[in-house]
Amino acid sequence: MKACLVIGVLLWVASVAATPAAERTFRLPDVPYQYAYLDLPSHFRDPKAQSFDNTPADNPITDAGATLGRVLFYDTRLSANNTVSCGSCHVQSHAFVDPNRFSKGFKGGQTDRHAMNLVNLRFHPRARFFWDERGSNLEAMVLLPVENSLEMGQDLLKLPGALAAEPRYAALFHAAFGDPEITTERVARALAQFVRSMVSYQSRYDAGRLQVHSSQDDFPNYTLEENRGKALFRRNCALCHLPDQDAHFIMTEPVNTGLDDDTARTDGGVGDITLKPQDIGRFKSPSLRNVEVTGPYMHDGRFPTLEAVIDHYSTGGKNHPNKDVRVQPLHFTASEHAALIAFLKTLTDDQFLSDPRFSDPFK
Amino acid sequence: MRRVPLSLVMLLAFSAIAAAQNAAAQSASRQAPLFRPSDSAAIFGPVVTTNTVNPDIVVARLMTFDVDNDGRLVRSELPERMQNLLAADASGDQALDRDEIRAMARPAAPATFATTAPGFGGGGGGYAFGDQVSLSTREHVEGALDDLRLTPVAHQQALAIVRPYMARLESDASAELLNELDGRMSDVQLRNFRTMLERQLSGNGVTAFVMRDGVKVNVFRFGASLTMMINSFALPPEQTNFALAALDRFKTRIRPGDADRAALLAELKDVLNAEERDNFDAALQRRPLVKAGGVIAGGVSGAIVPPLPPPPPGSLIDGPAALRLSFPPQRQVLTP
Repeated sequence: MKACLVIGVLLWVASVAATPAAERTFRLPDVPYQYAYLDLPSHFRDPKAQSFDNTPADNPITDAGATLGRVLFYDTRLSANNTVSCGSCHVQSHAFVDPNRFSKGFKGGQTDRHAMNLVNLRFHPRARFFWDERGSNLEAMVLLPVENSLEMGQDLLKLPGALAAEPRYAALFHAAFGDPEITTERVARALAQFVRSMVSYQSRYDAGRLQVHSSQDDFPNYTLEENRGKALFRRNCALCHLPDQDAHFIMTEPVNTGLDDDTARTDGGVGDITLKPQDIGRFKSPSLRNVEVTGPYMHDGRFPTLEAVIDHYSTGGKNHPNKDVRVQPLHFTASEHAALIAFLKTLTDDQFLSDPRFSDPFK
Repeated sequence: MRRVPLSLVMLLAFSAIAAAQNAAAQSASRQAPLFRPSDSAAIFGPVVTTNTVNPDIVVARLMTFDVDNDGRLVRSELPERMQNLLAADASGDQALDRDEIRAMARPAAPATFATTAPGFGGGGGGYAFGDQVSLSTREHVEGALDDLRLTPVAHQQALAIVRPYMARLESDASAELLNELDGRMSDVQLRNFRTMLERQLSGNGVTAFVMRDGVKVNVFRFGASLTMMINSFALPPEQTNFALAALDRFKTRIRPGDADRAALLAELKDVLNAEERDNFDAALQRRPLVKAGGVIAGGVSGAIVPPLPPPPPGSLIDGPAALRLSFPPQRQVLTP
């Protein structure tokens, strides 16, 4: 009797887990969302800030293209066994990172790096993606997890057929590309448009920046501690994380920040792709926008909290031979530590984290 | 405030480079140069650089993936994200051996002088410690005070202590340096050196900040560095080395050391609370990084070879004729 019950439960669990994606259905708004036009604040329209935009001329963001990309992003058909979608590991409420240190692939296997955030990928001027920068542009980047044998395991040759099982895709592809043909290249272009449309620009930082002439000025919407944190950030962190403009909290080049001192056995990052000795241990840095919710931090999620990240820079990291010379021990005091974190939390953009345009249409 | 277009500044800077290089060529025919113009270490002193991983380590690192220890890496042995490396399989055996890996693991050529000096880092200008770009550390010290976000009254009270303290520190160090150099160079050379030292400490003629919408976005350096001046004096080698060592000691003395900071903080005891003093102390111990305008900084600074003639009356910047720029030498607000 007991054995029957156990078997019954197992069968039920198995049937739920294997629910085919075809039974999932998506809902889109009657009036399509706007993706192509963004009313960006002035610090994003500054010529230097604008020069960070990596949107290619042959794949501009369109409302129809990004709408298709949104559906694809959350569609489990993109995985070999219809169990995971891009959105499984890139969670909107966490600025599109996985709140877990490592992510589960379509067969339950674990990745060995933390899923990067997808915030403002449009504004990475080098247009190289992943922690090791192996993705040479966003259109190429979006397909790598889809075909990765651990992450989604999809055969790209079979992908158009898998998507054709959902009849409504024909209309979406037609709207986006002029005819209903489903191709892998179009999937990539639509996904890239959607990801590029994910722009966070409505944080308290942005509201404050609009109220002052210079970002060096104290922001009227900040507390004293947040303004102190901003000043500390500008003096000690901005050279790398806010390069030559006020909008994009990104690093323009991958950097070795002294996370490890072992050159042979730890993750080689960019160096494992280029094999250049000076690239060993260098990693791409994601945007600091919404950093409050993108933990755990670093390529392997080794730091569970922002406090631990600040501690790392306070001590200056380990003595890797490739450690960037800019990473010096900063010896932050406890109150500086708190002020920096208070400032970093002002980069959280609640509007972005709950924007229905980026939400799961299958829910 | 007077505004000078960036294009004009760059034009002047590059004119200065060309003129100085021309002067250097003429000078070279008359006297043996003390150092080669391209030898940045001789001009700037040792540039801060990082070591890089040895290519052998890259090979050893990759061979850790050689599960069957046959000295060859096949596709199945490599992590998926690294399998594109097999494109470098020169022998066509669908595997990578040590030689093929080593061929890929060549280090990049060293960054050129113009793109990194006097900073480091490359990639569009490079970086420098603020106390290398600007001789005076007062801006850093006052910036650290500003970061405390004191009340306006407390800020003014603190500045009233910090400014004279730093002026004293620099004045004492300057007097000691000039005393050490007295008799080691000619009177004219010492007078020129003193003038440039004073101008650099006062900030005049040393740096210019490009402003964009009121934001300081870059630092450019104008005028001869003191190291370059000493090198250009054509002193006997032992005198040159002595003067350079004295200058290094001076640079150390004008940075607030442990005792200096303790004394300064003691003076600030009635103005700053304990937490503010802790934060100020911590900030003073950090070396600020700035992004250097690589070509302009390296070009203008690195091209100066000829000995310095005495400045004509009324000149705005002391130094080689090519560098007597006609715009005001004070800190500039530039519109790019």
